[in-house]
Amino acid sequence: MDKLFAIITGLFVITLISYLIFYNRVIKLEYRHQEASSGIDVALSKRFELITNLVEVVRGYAKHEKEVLTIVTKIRGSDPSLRHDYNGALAQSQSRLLAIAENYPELKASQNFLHLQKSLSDCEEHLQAARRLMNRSAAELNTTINQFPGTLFNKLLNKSDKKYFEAESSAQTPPVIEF
Amino acid sequence: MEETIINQIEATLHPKREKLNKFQMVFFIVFIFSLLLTLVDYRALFGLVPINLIFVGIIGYQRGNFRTEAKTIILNQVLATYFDDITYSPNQGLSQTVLRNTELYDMGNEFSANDLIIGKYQGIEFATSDIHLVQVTQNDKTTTRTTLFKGQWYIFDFFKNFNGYIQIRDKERSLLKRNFKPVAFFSVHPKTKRILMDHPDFNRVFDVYTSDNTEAFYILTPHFMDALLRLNDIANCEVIVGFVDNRLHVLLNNQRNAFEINVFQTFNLEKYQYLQAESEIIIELIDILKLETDLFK
Repeated sequence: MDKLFAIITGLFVITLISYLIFYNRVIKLEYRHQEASSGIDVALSKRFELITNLVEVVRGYAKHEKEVLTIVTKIRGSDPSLRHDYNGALAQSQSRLLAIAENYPELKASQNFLHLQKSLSDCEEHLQAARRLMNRSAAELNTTINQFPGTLFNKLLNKSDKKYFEAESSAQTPPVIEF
Repeated sequence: MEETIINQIEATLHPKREKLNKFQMVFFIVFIFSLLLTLVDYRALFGLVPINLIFVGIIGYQRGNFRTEAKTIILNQVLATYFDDITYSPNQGLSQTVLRNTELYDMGNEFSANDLIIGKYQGIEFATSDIHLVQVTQNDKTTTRTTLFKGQWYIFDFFKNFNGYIQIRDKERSLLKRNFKPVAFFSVHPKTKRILMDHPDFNRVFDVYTSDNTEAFYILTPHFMDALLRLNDIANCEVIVGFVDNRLHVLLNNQRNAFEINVFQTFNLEKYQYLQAESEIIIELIDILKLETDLFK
C-alpha cells in the first residue's frame, strides 16, 4: 500500500514539475512572440514615416502627378491594426512612388531621394528580420503546445496556435529600386 | 605582370641578400680559423670565444633586420596588386586590448600577434593579423603551455549599422572550453542569450549569442547564414564570427601562420603564387560575405 502511495505521489510530483516547466516555457515564448510582434509594428511605423517623406520629396518634383495624391489618401486611410493589409498598402505605395520617380531624372538624382531609397531598403530588411523573428517564435510556441506532453498540459492552459506573419504579395516580389 | 613584380622584388633584395651572405661567409672563415687555432693552442679559446659570440650576435641581428625588411618589401608589392591603401607591418599585430574587448575568444595569459595588414578592398576597410593565444599554467615543477588560438583574426567594416552584440560560434570544431561565457559578467557589452535562427542547417553548425534578437535576425539574413555555412566549409577549421561596435570580426583558428615565406632564398614564382593565394583568402571572405555592398551606409 505504502509502495503504491509512493508511486502515485512520485508520478504526481513528476507531472506537477513537468507542468510547471511547460507553463514557464509557454509564458516565456508568449512574451518572446509579443516582443517580436512589436518589432513588426516598429518597422511598419518606420516604413510609414519614410514613405510619407518619400511622398513629400516626389511631390516636390512631380507636382502634376495626380497619382501621388491617391497614394497619400491610400496610406493615410489604411488601418495600422490590420497589419497584413497595412503592410501591403505601404509596399504598393512605395513601389508606385518609385515607379513615378522613374519619369523624373532630377528627382532620381537628388540626394534626398537617394537617401530615402537606401533608408527604405534598410527598413525593408528590418521588417523582414522582425517577420522572421516573429515566425520563429510562433513556430517554437506552436511546437511546444502541440507536442507531447504539451498537448495534454495545454488542455489546462488552453493556448491556441499563433499565426504566422506572411510576407505581403508585393514583398514576395520586392519593389524595384534602381541606383 | 607577375614576372615584373618578381624581378622588381629580386632586384631590391638580391644585393642585400648577397651582402648578408658575404658577412656570413666571413664569419664561417673566422670560425674555422678559430677552430684550427684552438687545436694548435687551447689558450686561444679564451680570446676567440668572445669574438665568435659577437659575430653570432651581429649575424642574428642582421638576419632579423633582413627578414623584416624583405617581408615588408615583398608583401607591400604583392598586396598592392589586390588592395588599396595597403600597410603591412611584419612585427606588429592587431591590438590585444581591442581583441580582448570583443570578448570573442578566451585570450589566455600569453598573447602574440604579427603580420599586421591594413587595407581596403572595393571600399571595404579591413585589418588582419596572425594571432597566437596561449594559456600557460604552472604546477609545482612543470609549466604547461596550451595553445587556445592560432590563426588569423580579421576585422571588416560592416555595411549595416547595429548597436547590439552578436557572437556566432562554431559548434562542432570549437576548441573553447565548455564553460567559456560569450560575454563576461562585468562586461562593457550587454548580456547575451543563445537564440535559434530560422535556418536549421545553420543552427546545426553554429551557436548564436546575441543581446538583441531582432538585430540578430536583421544582420543574419538567410543569404548571410548561407554564406557563413559556405565559409565554414571552405575554412575547414574553427570559425568564430562576431558583430561588435559596427565591425565584423572573423576568426579562423586554423593552427597556422599566414604569409610565411623564406626570404633568405630567391623570391620566385612559387613563392609569389603562395602569397597570392594567401591574399585571395581576404578577398574570398569579402566576396563570400558580400561585404562590398554600400546599400546601408
